[in-house]
Amino acid sequence: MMGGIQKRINLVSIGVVLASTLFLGAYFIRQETAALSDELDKRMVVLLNGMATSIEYPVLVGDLERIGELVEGIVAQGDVVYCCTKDLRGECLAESGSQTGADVRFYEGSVITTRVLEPDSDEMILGGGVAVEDTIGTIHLSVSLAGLNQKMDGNKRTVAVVIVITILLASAIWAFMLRLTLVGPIAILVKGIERIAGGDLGYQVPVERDDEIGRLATSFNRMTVELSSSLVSKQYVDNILQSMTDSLIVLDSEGMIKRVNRAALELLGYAEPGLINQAAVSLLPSEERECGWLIGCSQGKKACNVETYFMSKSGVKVPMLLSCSMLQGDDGAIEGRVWVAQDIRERKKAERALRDQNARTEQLLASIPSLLMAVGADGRLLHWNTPSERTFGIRAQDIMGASFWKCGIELNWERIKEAVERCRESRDPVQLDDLTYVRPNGKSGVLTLTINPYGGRKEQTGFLLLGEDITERRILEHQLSQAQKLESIGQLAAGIAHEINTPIQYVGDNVQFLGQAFEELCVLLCKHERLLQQVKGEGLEQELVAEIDSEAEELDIEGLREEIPSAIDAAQEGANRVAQIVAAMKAYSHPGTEEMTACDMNQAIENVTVVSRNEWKYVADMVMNFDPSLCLVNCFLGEINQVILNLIVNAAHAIKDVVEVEEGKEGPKGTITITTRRDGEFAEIRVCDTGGGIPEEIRGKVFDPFFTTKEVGQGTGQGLTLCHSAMEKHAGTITFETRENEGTTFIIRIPLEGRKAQAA
Amino acid sequence: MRWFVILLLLAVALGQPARCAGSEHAKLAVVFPSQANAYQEAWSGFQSVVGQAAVSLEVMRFNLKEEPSGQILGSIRRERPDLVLTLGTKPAKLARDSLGDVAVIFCMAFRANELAGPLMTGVSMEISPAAKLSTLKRLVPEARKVGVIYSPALTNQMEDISRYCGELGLELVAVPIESESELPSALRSIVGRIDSYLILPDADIYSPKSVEHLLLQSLRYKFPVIGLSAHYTKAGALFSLDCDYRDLGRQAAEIALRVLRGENPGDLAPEEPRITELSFNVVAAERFGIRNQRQIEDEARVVFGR
Repeated sequence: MMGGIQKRINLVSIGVVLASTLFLGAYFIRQETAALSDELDKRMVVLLNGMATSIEYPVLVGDLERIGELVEGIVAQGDVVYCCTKDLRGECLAESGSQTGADVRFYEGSVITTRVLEPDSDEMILGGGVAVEDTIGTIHLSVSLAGLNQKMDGNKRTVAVVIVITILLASAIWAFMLRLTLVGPIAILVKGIERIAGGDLGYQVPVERDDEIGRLATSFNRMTVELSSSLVSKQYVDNILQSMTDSLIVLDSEGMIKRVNRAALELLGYAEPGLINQAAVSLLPSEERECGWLIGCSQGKKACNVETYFMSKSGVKVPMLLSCSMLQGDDGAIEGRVWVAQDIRERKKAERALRDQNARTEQLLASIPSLLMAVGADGRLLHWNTPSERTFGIRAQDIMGASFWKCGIELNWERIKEAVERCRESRDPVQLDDLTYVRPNGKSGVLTLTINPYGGRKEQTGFLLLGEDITERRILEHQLSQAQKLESIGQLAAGIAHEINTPIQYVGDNVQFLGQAFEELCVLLCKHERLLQQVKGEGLEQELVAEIDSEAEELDIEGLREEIPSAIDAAQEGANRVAQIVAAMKAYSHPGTEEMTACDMNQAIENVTVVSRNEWKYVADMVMNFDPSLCLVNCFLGEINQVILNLIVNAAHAIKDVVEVEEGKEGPKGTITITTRRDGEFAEIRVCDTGGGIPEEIRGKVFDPFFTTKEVGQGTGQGLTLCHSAMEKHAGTITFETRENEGTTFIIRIPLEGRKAQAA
Repeated sequence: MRWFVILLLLAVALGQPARCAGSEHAKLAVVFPSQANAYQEAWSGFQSVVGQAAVSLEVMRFNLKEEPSGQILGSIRRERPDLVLTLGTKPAKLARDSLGDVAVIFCMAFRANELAGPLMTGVSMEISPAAKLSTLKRLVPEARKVGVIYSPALTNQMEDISRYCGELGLELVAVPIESESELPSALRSIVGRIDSYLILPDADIYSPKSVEHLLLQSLRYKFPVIGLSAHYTKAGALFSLDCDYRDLGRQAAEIALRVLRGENPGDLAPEEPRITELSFNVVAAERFGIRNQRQIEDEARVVFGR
């Protein structure tokens, strides 16, 4: 059939092409003939003009020879067969060629010259003058058309060949294009229809075009797909229903089961006939049959999702997530319902496990004795444990979800905010020590808090605050520190007593001397009074004078006059010394304050050397190189005193081990050198002894608690440990440099601005 | 008697035409043959010199192309100007033939000797053949034979031309013809015998067509042609000597001032142009094999074909 259509179209097309080509060929030949004729005319006109120009002067001056040459030159042209030049009288000046012969065309032109009227010499030089044109002769040409005709014959042949070739090429291209664009695609469509008619509904016509045939093929494919889908939909839907892992139950408008999938049957343990046409509510436990969702469904609620139970055939309650939706006809009438139920036994089990886990976690968190607070990225409290409730006197249910920053606790919020920012930046835990707050009873308390980040990016970071109320511990530490201080004072008491004893003896001896002198002087004075009365009464007894003279001599008045002022000075010096020791002790034993205070470090060290003098004076000389530019240091003075004392006592003990002096006697001594200096933002104190140094094997243990090399009763092993703790409290450091048999230098460095500034 | 003679001489002197002798005002009639630029340039030069002399001119302008000659002559006779200035040959001839009682200064006229009279003098436009031949000898030293074709009207000049040629070491080959139609044959007769050609201002045998023919033949047979003006040079002549038309006007003005101040025109000999300008055709020079082209180009006022 395709061949038939193509053949007919081809024949019609060839006929049209042939007719068109013949018409165009005839038109072309006609036009070509006219064009060649016009071209010949133009050529001859040009030839005549050129001839007229060339021949103008010879005609003007009657130069027949030249005219003859030019005429013969014209006839030598291809198509010109005859040429004649005539003067105005019509007499032939020159001619060439033959006028005979058929098929010739005649041409005639004028020989024109320009003549200047009344020429004179001025115009010869200057140019110009009035010029007129005169015809002075004619030129006659006869042109053969043989060449033109010959060319036309050639053109006709060419046109004929072109027509034939054009028809052949056009036919071939037409047939090819027809097959490519129309017949071929139609054949493919016909083949597709035949295959579909043969039952191959899955066949798709290959479409690679967007023209009318392409759109036809696309529509055809769409129609095939729709046809195929309508035919296979039931089987397709059946496959879907049966392959569902969830249970599917289709009810009619009366709630009777009309269809059940395999998953439902397997779940409930029924065979399909056992359920078909049964009331769907029979699958529900009795207590669920009157529940709200079922009533809502029966009253026309379009869809609902509920958690319920199905009763299996064996009577087991299976928890299900049931999705109930309505089937409506085109008129909106309820035609039935679809229950899609998901077995949620595993989910229920997981939920239970999760709840148990949460309970355990809650118990675990509740068992933490520390403060535990969780703050979300938005600053709201997410967790507030029992110790937090006790510490701050706020119940969790009253504060959960509230802003942590406005929870009403009187805290140093600036420090907390600063720490939170640092934690957020570094994403590392940040510890806050000695954070003061107001306890529920209105008294001041001390907290230590560690802020731990949790969560994602910086802006989504929440915080877990883990802390402890260390108020009691701080009080105990303070008391302990004071006790230790008193203990050390106790230890120093004997030495101090000895230190005081010597000046007191000065004072006693001198006072005794002054008492005796005063007593003897009083006796002498009485005798002088008697003498005075006798002098007044003119009964002067020479014996009295001699007695007074004798006693005065005996008393050595001159000697007393010199010794008494010395005795008074000595007594005064002794009293001053005692006062100095007492002042130093008072300064040393001052309980201190809870906050750091600015202290003169040089003075503090000097005080310590005074109270500890008895510890070192027998074994060492004390050299103090103090930096006068060392400014006030912000510190806990009591603790610094304790540190310096420990270091001096240790230094004295170290020297004592090497100098081996007898108790209470002076011998060869070592040297304790205490140096202070300012090192940038730190105060540096060096306590250097000339003892035996610290053996290498114990250098790593000297700051360990209870480590000591002293004999039992001489050291507790707490001295350097306390020094280390005190330095940590000050954000300072304590280190040592030692050489065996040469001595040890302990170096402590304390921030000038105290711990807070250093931390910042 | 002596007093009588003195009074008679005084009366004669006072009875002479005024002619602005010593005065600063004069009436001038100027006659143009056409509106050609060359005449306007000459008139401009004339005015510049008179203006510098602080002479106030009352000018009457006439143009032969615009008014009949009789009407012009009537106006001149009626107005009686102190001086008539003619530009070109035709007004000069008209004045010579029709104005016998007015002083006339001609300018840019040919054949000045034929025009000069008791009340008429001026400046011709003719550049002496001697100057042209001298220039030829300088530009083309190898030139030996100069061809000239002339009409009977110029027969008188031929002796002078022959003498000039002799002085320059040139041989004159001269052919007289009666009309322009004889020119091609006359030219054919001397081609091959001449190595240069001098065109004379001869309107009887030269027309634009014949000059074109002459120049074509000169290029074909390689004999350089001395033209009459830059038009000829541009058309193919090797060189031409032109007048400086503005200077011609100035030259005529100087003569006119002398006449207005009392000199008799008949006592003043006609003058030739005192400034000539060379025009040169480079293409023609290459055709003729002229060697010192660069020098000539530097000298020429107008160079064609560069």
